[in-house]
Amino acid sequence: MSQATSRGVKIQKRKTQILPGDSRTARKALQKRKQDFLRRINYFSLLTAVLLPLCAIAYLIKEGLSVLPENPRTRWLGVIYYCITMLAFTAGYHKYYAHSTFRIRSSLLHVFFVVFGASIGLGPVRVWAAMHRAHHQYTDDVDRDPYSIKRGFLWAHWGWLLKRPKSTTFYKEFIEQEFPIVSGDNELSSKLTTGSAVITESDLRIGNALETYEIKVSDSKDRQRQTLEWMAWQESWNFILFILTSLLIPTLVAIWYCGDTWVNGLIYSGILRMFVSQQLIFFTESICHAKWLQVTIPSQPFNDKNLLVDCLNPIVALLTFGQALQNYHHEFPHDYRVSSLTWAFDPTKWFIWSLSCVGLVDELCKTPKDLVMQLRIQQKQQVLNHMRSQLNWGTPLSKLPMITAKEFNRLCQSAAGQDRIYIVIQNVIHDITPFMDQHPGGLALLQASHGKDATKAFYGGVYGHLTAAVNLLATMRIGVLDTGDDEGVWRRVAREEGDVDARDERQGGQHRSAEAA
Amino acid sequence: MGWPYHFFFGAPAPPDFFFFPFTQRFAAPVPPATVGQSHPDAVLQTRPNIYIPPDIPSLIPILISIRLTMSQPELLESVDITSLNALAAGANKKNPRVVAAGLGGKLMGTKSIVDVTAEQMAKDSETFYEKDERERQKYRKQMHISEKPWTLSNWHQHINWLNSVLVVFVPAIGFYHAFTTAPQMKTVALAVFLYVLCGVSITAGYHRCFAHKAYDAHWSVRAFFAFFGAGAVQGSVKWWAHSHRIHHRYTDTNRDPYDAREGFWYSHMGWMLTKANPKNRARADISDLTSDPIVVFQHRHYLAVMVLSSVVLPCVVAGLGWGDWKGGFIYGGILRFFCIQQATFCVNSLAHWIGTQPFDDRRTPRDHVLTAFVTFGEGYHNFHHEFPSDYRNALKWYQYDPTKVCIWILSKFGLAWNLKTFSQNAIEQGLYQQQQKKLNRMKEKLNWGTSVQELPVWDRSYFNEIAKKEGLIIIAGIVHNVKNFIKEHPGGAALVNASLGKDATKAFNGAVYQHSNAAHNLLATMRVAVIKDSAVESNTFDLQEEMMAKKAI
Repeated sequence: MSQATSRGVKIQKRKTQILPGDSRTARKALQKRKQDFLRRINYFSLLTAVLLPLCAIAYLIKEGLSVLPENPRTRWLGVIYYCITMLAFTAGYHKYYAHSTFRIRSSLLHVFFVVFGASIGLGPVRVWAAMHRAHHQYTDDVDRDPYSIKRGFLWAHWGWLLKRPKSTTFYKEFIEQEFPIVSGDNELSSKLTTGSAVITESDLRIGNALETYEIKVSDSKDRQRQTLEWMAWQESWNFILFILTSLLIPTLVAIWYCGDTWVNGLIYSGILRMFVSQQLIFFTESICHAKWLQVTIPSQPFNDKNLLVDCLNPIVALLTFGQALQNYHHEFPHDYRVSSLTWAFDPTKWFIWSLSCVGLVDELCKTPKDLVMQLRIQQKQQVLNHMRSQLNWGTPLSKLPMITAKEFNRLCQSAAGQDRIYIVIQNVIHDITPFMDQHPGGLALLQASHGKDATKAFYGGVYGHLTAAVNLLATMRIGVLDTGDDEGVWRRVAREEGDVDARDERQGGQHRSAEAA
Repeated sequence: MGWPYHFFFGAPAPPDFFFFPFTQRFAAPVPPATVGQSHPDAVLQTRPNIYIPPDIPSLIPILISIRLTMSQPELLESVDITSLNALAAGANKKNPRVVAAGLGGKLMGTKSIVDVTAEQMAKDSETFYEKDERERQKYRKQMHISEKPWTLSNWHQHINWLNSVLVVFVPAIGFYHAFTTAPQMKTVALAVFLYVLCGVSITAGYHRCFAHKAYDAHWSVRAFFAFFGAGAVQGSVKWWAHSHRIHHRYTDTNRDPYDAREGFWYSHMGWMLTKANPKNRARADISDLTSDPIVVFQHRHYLAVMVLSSVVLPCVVAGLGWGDWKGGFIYGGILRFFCIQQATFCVNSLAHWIGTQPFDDRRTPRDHVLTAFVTFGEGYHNFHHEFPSDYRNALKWYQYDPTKVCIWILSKFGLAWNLKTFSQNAIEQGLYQQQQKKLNRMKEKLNWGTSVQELPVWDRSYFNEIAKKEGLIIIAGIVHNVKNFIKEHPGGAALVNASLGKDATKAFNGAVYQHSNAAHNLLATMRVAVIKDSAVESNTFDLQEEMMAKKAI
């Protein structure tokens, strides 16, 4: 019954609601739910992600063995095999099948990706890549993101893999749409077109009109077909491949090459290595997606509307082969790199790049530097706009009353007895009283300028005030001096209050009709 | 389209401002309504000539007064810059003339620095180019020694000998003896202890208390600062605070006594080792200092206080305490004050030379943690120049400012009060503006696509003619040339090919794929023209959000 207890609080609550009623129907419902539950378990993942590691750890405890193998050769085997399989996963499963960030030129690579990627034990690439695409398309969507962080940390980490999703049809259709099973040429082309989009009904017509791109398209379709075939092949042989790469190969290598026992080879370089790589991949989906989890310095340089962070924790970056910068990755999923920085720690990038040097892959997808910069700037601008909106910038000029010189003089005379100071700067009347004692240049200067226009003195005649002083001054505005030059005042208003819009405009933010242009 | 047009559309004022009748003069000829009601221009077209905002009825009498006073504008009296400068220089008050007694005063030559009339100060209001020109005229015939080149015959006239002796020669002698005398550990401890006392007296006392009046202190604290500050051998409070006030008032100008534009070496020590040019003399109001008996006493008897505090005190303490007379003199006295001098000079040089400028980058002061470590927390200099009379120099908890802590502790004991701070609002405003400035600079370097106003207008038929040949696509009423991009499209070339020559607004904004912000930016760089008779929405970001919201419902 340990499984039953792990069902979650929700179901147990429902159980208690039903039980007091008709006990027979309730029991039936319970039984059905139990069946449903058992049906919804992903047994393959349960085996790879829970049972095998548990057995391995239990064995270690029973035998009193260390977490690291004693035989140094087995240790090295574990590390090297970890790197090989992780690269097959990050470069193959993730960067190629899910995001197609480059083009494969040799089917040898397909073999490598598909065979060794299976050793992580995360299921067939067809399902995983489609799920990952769904995750990118519907990030943070509770219903459609398969590992939405909003369903809880553990769900995003582990739960989604063990429990099949509720909306089975949706995901089935999604997988079928992203990676249709192919058997023949005609079927593929029709599936590809129907699967891809809404506007593609007119695909044929356009195809005729565009001879220049014809070859390109058919070429890419050919490659697409090849990829799909490999994916289908792997799906059907998934379990065998998993047994082979995850358990058999490390065991045999450990026996023949490292001179270790078969158990050690199986446990360390087989199961525990798999467990570690699984957990690290899960970490990128859980820790790096949880803004609220302050495990690292939270950093969202590209988009802070979602929960994705660029996890700057060096350990996570080291072990996930640099996959931890999720904020960048979700904004530029088609980039084969994990960061726009040239010297970022990113073994996956190095691996793909060396493959391209050898000539096994080409057309690496790289985001232009300017685009990354633009997004960075836009995000920073949003942060700054928020900061700006939180501050007091003084009453806007347009909201201030117009006061004539006569009225102003009367005001000053009436305030003569009290300890108040009114100063006009650039035709705006300021009540300096609250700042009187803090003025770094002393009170005497303020008193001498009471009731007068001190524009010249303020801007360099006596002291060239800095930005901070100008800001402070603005918070003390009380009116606009009416000198008859309305035009000048209005120009100033437009300059001061319109500057936000003007700044937006540079990014293309104005709403106008084309005819005006 | 002339400038008023761009002016108007570039910076639309909020509608509630349009009560000024002259706005219509600036309005561009508004195009006839051809688009649907939802178009934002509809607001523009229906806007009345004179719009009185209903929420400010109190403005109506003012509006009337505008009408009345329009014909007879009455100008306000402007302040007299000359008299205000006289005020700022402290010339309005009858200052007791405080001159150092005897030999010290003559040697220090403070008289020449402050010897300037208010009329001369008022001329500062002209630009520096004008002023430089005037000074050049004045010194055309007779050159001041500082303007003459250094030659073998006049080099000794260039040097300020008193300062050179105190800052260079005496420490040099100290170093010479230090090589021959090993100090006792107790003497070193005494030197470090005195170093801290004198250093804090300079930062918390000379600088923040006397020069900036950042807080008021009890007379005993001020006397402490005056005594141990003299031990740092940096001049009297009156002289030090005066030149520091001048430095703040004329930062990065010729009148700045330690002008950082002259280079690191000049602002570090050069300014005091050579004679200053009298045409650059300036004055600040120090009436508050000259009315403080402690400052006056210290200035009058500066030489005696300095020798007592800097050399005699450590010498006597070490000699009577543990018999190390010479060690006390050299390590506790000379070498210690040499270190403090150099640390303080670092504020003038290092703090204007290395570091960041989070508040204002128009002048040289900079923030750097290294300078802060050297100078008891005076290293956050950009902040300090922006908010000079703030008793703090560092704001964040992780920034190193022990002086601030000292002052705060004094205030808890009731020995200091009236601690001045600038409002957090003003500080954050400064931070915001500087960051915005930097961001704008970065923005200017990038290509954000042609602005919609500058695009040509195309007929739909013309577009249909050439669209497929040229690889054109319409998104949000704007024609984009995607020919070179088809291959690179991450979603595959087929999708782009399928929408060539069509309006792909919906597909782009979510119907097929909800493009990322980066895609929107990339799209903007491919703009070619505007399509006639369609709603133009150049901000595809907002459009996408709108459409996705609709879809969600």
